[in-house]
Amino acid sequence: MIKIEHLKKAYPNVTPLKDVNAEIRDGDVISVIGPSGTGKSTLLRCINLLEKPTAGRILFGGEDITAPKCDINRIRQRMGMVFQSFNLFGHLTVIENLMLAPMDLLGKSRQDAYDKGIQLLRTVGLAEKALNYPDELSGGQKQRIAIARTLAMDPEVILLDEPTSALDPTMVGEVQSVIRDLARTGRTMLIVTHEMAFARAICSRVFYMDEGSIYEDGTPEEIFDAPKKEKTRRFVRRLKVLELKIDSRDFDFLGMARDIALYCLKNQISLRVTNRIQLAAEEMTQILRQRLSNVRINAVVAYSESDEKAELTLDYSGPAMDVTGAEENLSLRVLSGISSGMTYTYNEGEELPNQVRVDIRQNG
Amino acid sequence: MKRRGILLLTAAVMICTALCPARADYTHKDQLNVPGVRVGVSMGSISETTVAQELPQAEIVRYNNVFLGYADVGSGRIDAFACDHRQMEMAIAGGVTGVRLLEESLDRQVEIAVGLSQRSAIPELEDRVNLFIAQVRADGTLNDMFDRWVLKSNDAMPDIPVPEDPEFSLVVGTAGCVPPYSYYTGSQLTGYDIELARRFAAWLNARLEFAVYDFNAIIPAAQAGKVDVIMSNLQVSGERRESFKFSDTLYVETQGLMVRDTSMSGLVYGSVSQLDGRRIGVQTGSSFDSLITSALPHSNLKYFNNKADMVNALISGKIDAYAADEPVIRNQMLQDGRIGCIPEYLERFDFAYVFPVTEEGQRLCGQMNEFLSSIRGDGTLEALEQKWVSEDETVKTLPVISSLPAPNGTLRMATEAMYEPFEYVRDGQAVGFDIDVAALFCRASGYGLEVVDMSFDSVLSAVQTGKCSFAGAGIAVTEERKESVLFSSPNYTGGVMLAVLKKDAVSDTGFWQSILSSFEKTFIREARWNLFIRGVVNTLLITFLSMALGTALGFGVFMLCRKGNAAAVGITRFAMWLVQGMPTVVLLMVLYYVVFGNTSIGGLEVAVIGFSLTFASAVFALLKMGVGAVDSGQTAAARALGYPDRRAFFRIILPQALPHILPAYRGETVSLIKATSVVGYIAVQDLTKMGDIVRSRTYEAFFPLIAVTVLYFILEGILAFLVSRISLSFAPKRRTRGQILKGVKTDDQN
Repeated sequence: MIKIEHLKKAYPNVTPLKDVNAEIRDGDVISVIGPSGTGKSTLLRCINLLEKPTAGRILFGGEDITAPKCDINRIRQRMGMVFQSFNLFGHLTVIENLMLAPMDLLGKSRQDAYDKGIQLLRTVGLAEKALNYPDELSGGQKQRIAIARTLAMDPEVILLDEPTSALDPTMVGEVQSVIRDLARTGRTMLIVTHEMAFARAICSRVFYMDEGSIYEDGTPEEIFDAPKKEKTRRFVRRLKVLELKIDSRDFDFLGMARDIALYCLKNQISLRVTNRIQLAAEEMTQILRQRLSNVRINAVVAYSESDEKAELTLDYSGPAMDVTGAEENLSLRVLSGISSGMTYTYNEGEELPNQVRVDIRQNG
Repeated sequence: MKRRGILLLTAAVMICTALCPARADYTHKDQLNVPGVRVGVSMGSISETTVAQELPQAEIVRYNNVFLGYADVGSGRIDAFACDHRQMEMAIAGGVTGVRLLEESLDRQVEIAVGLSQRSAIPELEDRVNLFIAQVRADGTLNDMFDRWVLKSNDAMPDIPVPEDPEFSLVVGTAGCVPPYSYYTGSQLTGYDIELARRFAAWLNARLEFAVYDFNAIIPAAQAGKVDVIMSNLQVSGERRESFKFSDTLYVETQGLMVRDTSMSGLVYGSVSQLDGRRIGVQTGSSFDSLITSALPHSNLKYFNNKADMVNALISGKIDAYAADEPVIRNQMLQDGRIGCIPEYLERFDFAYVFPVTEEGQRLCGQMNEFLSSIRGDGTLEALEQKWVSEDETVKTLPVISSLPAPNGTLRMATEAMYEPFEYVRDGQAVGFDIDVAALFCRASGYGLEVVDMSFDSVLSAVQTGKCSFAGAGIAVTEERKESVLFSSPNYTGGVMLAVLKKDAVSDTGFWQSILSSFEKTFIREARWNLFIRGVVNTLLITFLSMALGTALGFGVFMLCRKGNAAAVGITRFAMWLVQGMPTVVLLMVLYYVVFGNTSIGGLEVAVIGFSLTFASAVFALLKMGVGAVDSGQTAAARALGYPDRRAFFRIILPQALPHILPAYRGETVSLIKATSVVGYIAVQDLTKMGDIVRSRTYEAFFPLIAVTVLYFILEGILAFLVSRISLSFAPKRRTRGQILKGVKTDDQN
């Protein structure tokens, strides 16, 4: 239904969308995820032309809506948008909010608009608030009404721009159930969201946006469980990463400990785990220094916020050498005490082919 | 140390008193030519330059309005006010209190002439005007007019024919608040200059039209060609001549000086000169009538047989003043608080005893003179005088005349015992100052005294014929009398003064009565309420039209600039900088004289245009603010639903902007009404101008001002109420369920 071709949006200082290509079919429920500033909201606002694209084309039902001659107001009437800040019309009652656009733009009679409005309010569970004003309602109620307002226009596609971001956790659930019901009825929807679990539960497709385009695109299982690209992986696992490069035998190991401490502090990792990571790094680098003739190590500390797991991965140069194996060694003993597992792999052809991964123990 | 301090303090006080001019009564012009003295003048009048020249040391204070100047003299804020002598007289007669005029006026006399516009459409205007003036002067009309309007205060406008087939159009600029030259009776413009204008129009065969301006705006109006001539008691000055043309002189004015009257609390007439032309009472047989006719040649003399009748006549308003000896008046003042005295002597004189021109008479006279000089020297005479003019009757005792030892015989004194406190009857006995002194003389010189009471006319002849030894009857020493009798040295020195009513006497009536009388004068008399209605109508007309046009203009400009169109925004910003940068008066005058100078667009239209511009810029700013206050998400939501830009603005943005705007809008309309009070500058007679016109007739500063203020409050209240009603209808939350669900059938569950 919607085809996006080479969409580009540039501002004077930044270009959030460099080259976006996508196809959205009827009935798709797509969640758009990604780090901040990667153009997720911009993409949505370009689709209904609230932002004017710098380059590229968007086709809606076969019609090129980026063409100058296009009647954009007509197009927008067929698309609905739900905003992060609700944007209900404050000078009108709830029912009037639902009646206004159908009467003005679709020419519906007052009675028809009213009937449809009341029915929609019932589906979102707020019929009793018909004569209230928006400033008398809670955030969750407002968002449900905002969704009802878009439904009153019977749109072909609904664009939801972070619909629950402005709600406190107690109200998120009521809005999510409304959206879930909509998804079940087969509405085409694009949802920009940070709620991963929710996205996973209701969506048929996931766009991960990064680097100015759709970085990776797939089913929820593909994206969340088996992401193909590193950045995707890091994002979905909510990995916070620290990279340390060690180039010589006489590297600053105290500095390394300090960098790890700062990184852990920033990510609010517990002291116990912080100590373990430091110890692991220290011991591992000790072993490698002894064993390697040419010391070149790339160490990565990765902490997953979602499952609170820390792991230390070291890629090092030299011939295949499994440091986790065999000889009894004090360092190894220490390492085994603080880790829940160690894995060695050899990647032929890589610059630093040897890789050791230490999973840091969480508890105990 | 303490003594040092006291000395220093005293020195400081003395220095201060020496440096600060005494704010006491001024009597001479020279007293004003001293550093620190403040003399007020009407802004832009000739008096300003005259005072600068003749009283160079004084500080000049400029006033927009002469009544404020008079008020400040009365309160002591300034020491004097210089203005046309006659006008100030009329003001005082009309009721300005606490002030009086100095006897001396400024030396320079002011010429009054007709102002001529260089840009008049009437050809050879100057020659024609001067020819006209020459004619009416030659046939005596000009003098007669002056006599009637100015000297006699006769305000009847004679019938002057209006030209049937006028050849020209004549617009005469005038001020309308300068009695008796140009002022309003009821709602009719009248006065010396008005009659002059009518005569000139008839002479010229022109259609006459008057344009009433604020005083300071008349000359610019003539220079711009808005009026052909100015007839408004216009003063000629050297500076004005440099850029403006005048006709030949009509008449000449004296510039008087008004100073504070600290003595009496407000007399109805503050100085002798004010009584010229008024009704003055004199007692028959006194010598005062010739005194009055020489001092006040136009006054109306009324004769009374006795003093009591005269006093009654004054109190009941049948006469404006009466003449009498100073002690008599002071006595009467003590008895009746309504009587006041003008602190000027018509004549100073002496009272003395009268003796026959015989040897005996001369001898007695010499003895009397000795006696008088001795009691004069030791202060007894002064004490006696004080005794007899005091209020306390109990101290007024005589030595017992009947028991005077009279070794040298008894003297008979002729008198008329009807001249308190000199001689009068009390408890059947003749007492008084003259009798007291005579009795003391007799006791000292060994005579007895017999007082013989007769009528005043007979007193002198009684002495001449020898019936009485001498006379003591408050007889003034005159040259005429000296021819037939002998006078002792004076036993009393005093003068003839004029008694008038005190202002309080009139308003002895109490607070409410005075409010009612002010109300009557301001509104009822001469149907002056018509003037106020006219003023209110003009004010409202300008206000409403400006509001409507200004709102439409401001809204229109806002819609043009809304999208950010560079040209529209640039032009609007420039226009607003112009309109808002100038004070409103300046804007109006620029429009009136520069932009629309050569057109026939009148003051009212210019006022509407000017105020529409200022109101529009206010509305524009309000809209920017109000619409800017609406969250941008509202626009996003509206557009996302598919609303076109215009409809989104009117259906969704504007209704949410209005509650921000309307309270400030209401304030702007109230400001607008107040701002219209300056339109007098461009010849529009609004409410404020009417207040000025009425004030110039009633001479009351207070009441007309309060009346105008109250009227403004009422108008503002009505306007604010109307705007509030409109705001209410825009307040969405005040709608009832029925209004919200109009035309919709709900099911019962709701």
